[in-house]
Amino acid sequence: MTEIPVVIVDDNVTDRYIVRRRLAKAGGFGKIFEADNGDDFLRQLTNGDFQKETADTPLLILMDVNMPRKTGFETIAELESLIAAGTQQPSMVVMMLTSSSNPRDMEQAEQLASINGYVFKPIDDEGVDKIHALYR
Amino acid sequence: MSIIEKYRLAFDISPVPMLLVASDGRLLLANDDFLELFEYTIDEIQELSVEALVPESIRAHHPELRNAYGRASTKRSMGAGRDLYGVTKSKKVIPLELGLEPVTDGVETMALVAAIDIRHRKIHEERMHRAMDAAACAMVMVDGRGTIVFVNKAASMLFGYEENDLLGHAVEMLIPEEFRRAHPVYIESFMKNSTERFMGLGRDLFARRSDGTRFPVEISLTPVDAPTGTLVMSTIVDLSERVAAAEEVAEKSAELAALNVELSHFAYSASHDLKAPLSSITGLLTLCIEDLDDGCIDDVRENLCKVIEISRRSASKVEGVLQIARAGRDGMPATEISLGTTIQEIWVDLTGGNSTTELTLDFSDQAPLVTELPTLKVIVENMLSNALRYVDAAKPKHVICVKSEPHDCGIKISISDNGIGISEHSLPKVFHMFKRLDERSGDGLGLSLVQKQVERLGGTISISSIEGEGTTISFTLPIMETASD
Repeated sequence: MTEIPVVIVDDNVTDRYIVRRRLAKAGGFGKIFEADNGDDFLRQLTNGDFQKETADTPLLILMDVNMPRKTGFETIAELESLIAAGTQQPSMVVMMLTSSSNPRDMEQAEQLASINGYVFKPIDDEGVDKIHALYR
Repeated sequence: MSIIEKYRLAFDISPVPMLLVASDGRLLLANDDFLELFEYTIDEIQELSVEALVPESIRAHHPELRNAYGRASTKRSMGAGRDLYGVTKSKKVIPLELGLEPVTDGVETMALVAAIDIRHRKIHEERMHRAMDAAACAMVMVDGRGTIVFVNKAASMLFGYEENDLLGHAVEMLIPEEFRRAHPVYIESFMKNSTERFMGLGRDLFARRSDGTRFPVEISLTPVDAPTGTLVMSTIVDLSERVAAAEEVAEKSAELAALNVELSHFAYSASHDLKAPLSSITGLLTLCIEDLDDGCIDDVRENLCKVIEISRRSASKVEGVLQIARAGRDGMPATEISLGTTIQEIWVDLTGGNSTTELTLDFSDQAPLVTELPTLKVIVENMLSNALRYVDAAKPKHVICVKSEPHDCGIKISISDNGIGISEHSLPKVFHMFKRLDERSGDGLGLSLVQKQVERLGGTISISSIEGEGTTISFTLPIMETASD
């Protein structure tokens, strides 16, 4: 079974640590990248930093919603316009990562085509199962 | 048969008091009703001239009027709008309505006078005027030509005129200039088809005071039939207070709507920002339990420390929110403050006294400041800590300048830095609660708290910034009264 490459986009260092530890314990995940804001993530992506890891398995993007400067949704919208512009992008699975169960967030998640689902913080085994289900 | 004999018969059957006056003023004939009204016998009255029957005030002038009538005599009522009076034998003065008719025997033109005692009518009129004067709303009566024939006390007061300044004048004097031209047309059409109704249905009506100011009114119109033709009674209600109250209500509800938006924004942000640390703590503690089971004591220790740190920060954040909530209500006593000393103390607290950033003070206003010390500290502390947080690492020297200058009846304090600045896009959001502009931002409460406190003290706050060059935040504070005990 191929391991899933991951990038965690979250401004909170503790929350990135929790996700990293949880994924490590659950197993099945490969290299884990981190970005502390949306721009940082987009820069790494267009840089091709994730390219090598995503040859076999789509990249899992765990995207925090509430971040300073660009929100998770704004970042994804920008990602979509990059894809629409035809820039070569690796295949990916996008999961929003949020502590809020705000219905407005969920509505927004439905509206962006490239978002595959959401996982509540702190990520637990149930959240990990949700991710694995998408890869089966 | 002399003309006197001819009229005697008619006089005797006349139901109204009648008098025949010679052109020289001698009283030729009077009927019983007239004699009774003026308390004379026929013999007594025939000794008199008509001047004996007119009030003393016009007695001297009366022969002139009488001669004028003799030269151009027509049938008419006497006095044309003025009140007329007669004087009786016992010097009683009675109000009269007088009709005049010239009669001639071919040689001399005499005046036939019908005199009607209007004492009762006068009493009724006065009673009615008193009743209308007692009314709270203003009443103005006009005749068919728009001439004011009656105003009550409330109307005089409302419009700011004496009664005599209004009576006999065109009602347009009570109307703002721009509506005057059209008004006579409205009067005319009302007279043609007069029914009781409100004026200007659906339009906002305004009236004009003697000083030229205008005010909103509601006016109802009632036609009143009078012997001289149809009159219009208008009842005028001053709507100034009602309109002002409605405006106030509209303002308040806009304010409430804005508050509601802020509240829902707050609820959204608070639910996220106060919940986020709890989910971090849950995540860390779950890992701790698992690490304990695995015997990884060092990881447990490290993560518990993180939990403590997060809890501590959350508690202070909750405190911050409470401070903002309280900012609307609680004031503190004002004291005399040395701004320089206060800023130096805060600076040492923030930097521990060794910072690579240079602080300069530029106080053009040396007068001691009187305000709430704890509040001022919160404001300055937040602003200085922002300035310290956003230093521009690319610049060789980091400078923060605090400037104070007199402003209106208070002080203006500006804190400028040469830090990274704020983008035009982000600038409007800096005062939003929980809005953090980047990962360097604090809890997102600071400037929102500062703004609330400055506004509570009666000042204003503004921010200007150029990305890459630096930021200046200025606020004003009115000088407060020192607390007296």
